[in-house]
Amino acid sequence: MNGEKRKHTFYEYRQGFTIALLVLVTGFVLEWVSGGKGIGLPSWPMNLYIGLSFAFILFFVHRFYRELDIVKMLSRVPVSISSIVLFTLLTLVMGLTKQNEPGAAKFMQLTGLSHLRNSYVFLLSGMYLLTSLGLVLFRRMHPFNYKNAGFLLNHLGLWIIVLAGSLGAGDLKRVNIMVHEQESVWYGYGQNGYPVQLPFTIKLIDFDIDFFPPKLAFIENRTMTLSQDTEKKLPMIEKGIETQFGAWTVKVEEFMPFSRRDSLGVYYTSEDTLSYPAAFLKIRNSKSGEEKSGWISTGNIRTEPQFLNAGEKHSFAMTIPEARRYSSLLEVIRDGHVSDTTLLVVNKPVKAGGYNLYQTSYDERMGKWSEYSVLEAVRDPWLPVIYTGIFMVILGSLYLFTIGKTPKKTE
Amino acid sequence: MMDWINFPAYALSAGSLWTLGVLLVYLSKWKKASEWIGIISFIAGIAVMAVFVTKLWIHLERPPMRTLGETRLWYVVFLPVIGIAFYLRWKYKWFLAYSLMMSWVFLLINLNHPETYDKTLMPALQSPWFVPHVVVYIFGYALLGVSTLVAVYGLYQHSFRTLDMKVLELADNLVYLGFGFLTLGLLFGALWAKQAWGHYWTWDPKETWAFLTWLGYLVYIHLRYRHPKKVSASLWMLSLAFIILLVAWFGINYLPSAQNSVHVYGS
Repeated sequence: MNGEKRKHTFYEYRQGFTIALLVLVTGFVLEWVSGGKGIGLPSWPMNLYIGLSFAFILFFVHRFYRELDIVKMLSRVPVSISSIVLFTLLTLVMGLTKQNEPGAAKFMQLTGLSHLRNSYVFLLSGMYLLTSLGLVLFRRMHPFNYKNAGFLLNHLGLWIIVLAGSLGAGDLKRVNIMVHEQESVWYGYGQNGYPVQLPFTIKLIDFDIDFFPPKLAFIENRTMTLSQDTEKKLPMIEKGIETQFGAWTVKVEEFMPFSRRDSLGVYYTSEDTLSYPAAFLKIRNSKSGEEKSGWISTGNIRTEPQFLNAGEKHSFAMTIPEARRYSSLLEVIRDGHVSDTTLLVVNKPVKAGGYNLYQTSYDERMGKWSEYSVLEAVRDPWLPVIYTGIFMVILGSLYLFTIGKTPKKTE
Repeated sequence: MMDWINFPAYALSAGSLWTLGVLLVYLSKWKKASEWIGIISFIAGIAVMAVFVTKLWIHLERPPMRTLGETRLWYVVFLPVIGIAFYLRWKYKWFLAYSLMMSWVFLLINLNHPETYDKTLMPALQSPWFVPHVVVYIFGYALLGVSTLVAVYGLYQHSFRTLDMKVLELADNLVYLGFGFLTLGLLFGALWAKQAWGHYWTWDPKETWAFLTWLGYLVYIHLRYRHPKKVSASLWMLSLAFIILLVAWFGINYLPSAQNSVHVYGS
């Protein structure tokens, strides 16, 4: 590269990073002036108008002013890099700090750094990125050459995702719903904690849950926590398994996934709703030669768990079983119209009245005896646009797999 | 507990087959025939680990991709695959040596931290997206790891000798491939998140750091595109991007800001 070009490139980087710095400072000032409260997101149709205007302005600038030096510069790599770097630095802050914490430092609040997701500086940084990205897209689209397909897919796809993600955030509704068995609810709570009415009523007919078998734990009696040296080792309990915990050899002689205990302390298999897992262990200490056996169990909402003492300071215990699958059998009532009963499972949302219903959680303290189900209703009207962008970038990635050559020289 | 499947036996067999394979390939400078035997030995090592992982998958009744140790196993399988593929395509012997070394590193780590391999898999992970999302990321990280090695070698060449531009071109090829996989991983994660959690992007620490990794390599790609002769800057950028990758991979387990992430590898 000759001296003139080199100087020009350096100049472009200086310009680009100066703009980035301006964006940063402007963002901070705007945030400070507005009291560090963050920005509200525009909703429909305001966000659509903003998006269309922005796209139109970029088009206008490209169409009529693309010969201007400043426009050319904005569509070139040095500016792209500066906008990406600015965006990266802000994202880095998000990666290193806890965001949206109530007791954040004054400086962080007033600059917006404590709540970047809805701060002026993040918004402006996004706009800088979209400007650079949009202008380079227009430049590469004229004249249209199918060889640019990969480039266009990646860059346009990204542009759509960032724009739609930002604009669509104002129309995103996420509602947390807690519903008890046999109960009907027609509202939930939004992200800010305020109640949100839903355009339908949900009736929970039945909440069903099943668990993996519990695991065997070696705990310290004093702290009731896992013993330090065997912390990582938690084998799943199965009849007949034999394992080692330090000097102790343990054999599971009997395992009942569903049991009850009678007044004499004897365990028996039971299918009733209050049943819980229990196991009979035989343990032996290789150092002291001590041998003993006994039951361990998790207990239920009325009964204490049972442990097996192993030496003075430790015991064997059964962990609370982990959920394998849980689901809610629902009825959705809309405009007086009752739907068929639908089964809502994790990873398989169900549509209702413009929302998607998700099985989120249950009463984890009560576990098997959870009396309510936690659902989430999400409304995301901009989703098809996001999906289009995502699909384009996926195709664009496949294009990246085919580039195995030397990068082109500078334009 | 671990009697049903003897990991040390599989690990040491595979490791030995790979070591033998690499030695034979290097020796083929003097004896042509040993190259083919070396390649076969190397592939046999891959087969041994593939058998182990398959048996593990069947035994656990779930994809063995949940814990950090389990994902290390996949690196042990995929790195040699990438190594042999690159050797057959471009004849770089040191590729084989690199994948041999990294596989031994991961094998030794796993031998020192024996897994309990339990069957539990939380409902959110029971999804057809689980395997593609994890596999694509493992490939991406493996390729980008190699690219960093190339970058370090390039910096050494640049500082003490003259840089062979082919080294930088190789780094680029690797980054384009790795970045492609990284992008897919990020997007698959978003599509999965929409199914499982209700939203495709929540700025969860792992998501944020995965995005930062992506941005780091994005800057590198643009630097290389615009300044193909600016060797030093590019190589340093590549190394920096790799550090971000390491934080995203397991550094977040130690970051105080990331303790509540859904992605902190569960035990």
